[in-house]
Amino acid sequence: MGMLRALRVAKSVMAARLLFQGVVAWFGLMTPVQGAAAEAAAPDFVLRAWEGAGEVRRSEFAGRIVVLDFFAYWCSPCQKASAEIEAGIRAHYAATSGNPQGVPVEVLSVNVESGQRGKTEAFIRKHRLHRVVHDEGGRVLEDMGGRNLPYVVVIDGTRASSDKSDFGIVYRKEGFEGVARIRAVIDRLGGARPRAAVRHGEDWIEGSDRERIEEVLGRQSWPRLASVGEPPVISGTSPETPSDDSVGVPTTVTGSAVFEGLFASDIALTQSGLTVGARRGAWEATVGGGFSTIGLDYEPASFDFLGVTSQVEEGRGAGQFSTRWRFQERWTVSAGAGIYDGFTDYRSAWLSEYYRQQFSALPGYVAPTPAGHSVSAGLRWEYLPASGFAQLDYSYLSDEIAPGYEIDFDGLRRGRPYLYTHLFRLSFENIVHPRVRLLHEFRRTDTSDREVRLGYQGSVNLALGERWVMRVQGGTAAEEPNFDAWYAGGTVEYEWADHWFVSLSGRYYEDSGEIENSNFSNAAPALQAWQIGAGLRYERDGFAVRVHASPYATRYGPSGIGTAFFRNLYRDRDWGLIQAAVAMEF
Amino acid sequence: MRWLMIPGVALMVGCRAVPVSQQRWVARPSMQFSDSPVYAYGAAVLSQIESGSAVSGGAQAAGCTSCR
Repeated sequence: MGMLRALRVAKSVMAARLLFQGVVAWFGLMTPVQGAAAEAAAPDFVLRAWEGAGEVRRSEFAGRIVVLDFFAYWCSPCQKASAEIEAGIRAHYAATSGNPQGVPVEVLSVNVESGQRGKTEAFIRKHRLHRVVHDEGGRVLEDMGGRNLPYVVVIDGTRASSDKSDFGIVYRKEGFEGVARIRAVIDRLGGARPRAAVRHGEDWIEGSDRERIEEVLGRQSWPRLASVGEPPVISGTSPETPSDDSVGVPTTVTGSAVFEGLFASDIALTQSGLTVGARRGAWEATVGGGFSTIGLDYEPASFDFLGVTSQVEEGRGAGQFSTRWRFQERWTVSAGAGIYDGFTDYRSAWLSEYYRQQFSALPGYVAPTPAGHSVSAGLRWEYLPASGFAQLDYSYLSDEIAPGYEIDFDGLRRGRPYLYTHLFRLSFENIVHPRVRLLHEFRRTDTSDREVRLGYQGSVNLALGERWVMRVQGGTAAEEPNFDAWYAGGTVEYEWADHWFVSLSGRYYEDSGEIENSNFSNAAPALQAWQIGAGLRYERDGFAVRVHASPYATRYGPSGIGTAFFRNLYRDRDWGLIQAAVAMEF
Repeated sequence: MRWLMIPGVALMVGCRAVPVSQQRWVARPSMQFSDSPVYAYGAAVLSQIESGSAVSGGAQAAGCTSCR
């Protein structure tokens, strides 16, 4: 009872703190959200040259266009961004002697990492960066409105001269949208073209030429014209005028596969899955499928005269779809759906075999057909740029289970075959220190015909050193009238060679036993479980693979007289756990 | 003692942004909380046994293997 109340109060404190931070952010007392791509005066800057003692100043780019590519060697998306900007922007405009108006275009690769000079130089050599400068402490990055990497800024210096300081930011973006998008901005700068214009295919129409615009786009689609510096927003539709938002945005494809096996002397469990995903601009979608198997040697209790030993083999197929849309700079919405067919766990399969042997010959017995589906939705808020995230998820699950049976003078009675669950999850992820990342998760599970189950899980990832990472996790769950569970574990990982990582992990779990569901109960008694294992991971250039193995032990407490028929299900076992996973991004 | 958890948990939610120039350590893939099976160090198959640690909800999380 005390644990449940503590969890409820902790939730209230979290919600109050989130509300406070939201109010503070609304009144702009915290770090302001990054501005839009409207033209703004470019702050003056002085950047130290990466090689030598020279400096690069903003005034050097009077009469030119300069692209600032902020990067760090440890930033994975920067690998692709810097390489494509170097080839698709710097080299491109060097070959064409500037943009279509003849304005020179330069690229500055701006490093924000103060340490690890060797790794930064390796990054520079790998991507053949031409002109590299250093931004000590990321001050220029912040002055330009950046909070994440990669961060790309385009400064228009075409109106500036030695006597006139008129530099404007015409493009700035966290993340990389592709060179085509940046080129579209650069190609409009400078020259005698009117300052306001509408793009129509490859042509530009003067912004004041309403008659021409309506002729092309339709009388009802007079577009909003932006000042120079913003991509023109065309509210009308025209097959010849694709949205600037879709031009040239690269698509990233991801794939992953996983296999898990848990084996004891009389039970063999496997789970395998395959997921494919794609990211393009603000959208992300994944599709996945999985297959699980259950193999067990069914053995009835010694006094079960109706029971016989048998082999049980079951399979379960599952499919899942999810999508995310970053509809604002700091907000992401997600949705998903899933479906499965088959037993979700080996205990259900064992109990189903028991009931089949006992009651299948009696009227009222129905062979189980376990299956289910789910839908979910979520909202994620980046309340601290790159450092603080809050997320709320809701899931609705419908499960057709393998129900239990009881027999009395009225005949065979079948248990409830359908369960409906409402699951809420509130999570907070924070970078509280340059070496510490935290995750708090609160869960509320409301399943039909049961009391609400509350759960909490906390995770801490600590960077202990250049080659050491420690991950610690713990959690608890509680449900009236008498279910309590807690668990804790940790992993220490060491990079023993470039791209190779070894890990040691351990975990302990304990619960008070499932809630008795009838006088003749099949609920599991109290459980203690523990494991200790080792793993190996390799990762390089968008590819990663991991293997892990550990012994795993389960120890059940004494079962009551009502659970005696299920003694062989809830007996102590020693298991072996193996995992293998691979992930790719291209 | 359980009541000490509440302010302890509250204090662990950060309210100050760590500048991106200082995020070298936390940017590593092994420091992320990721859905990728390569970096998620739990084992989903254990949820068949440890109903108190299941995070997906539904029949498993309810611990209701064969309800009446």
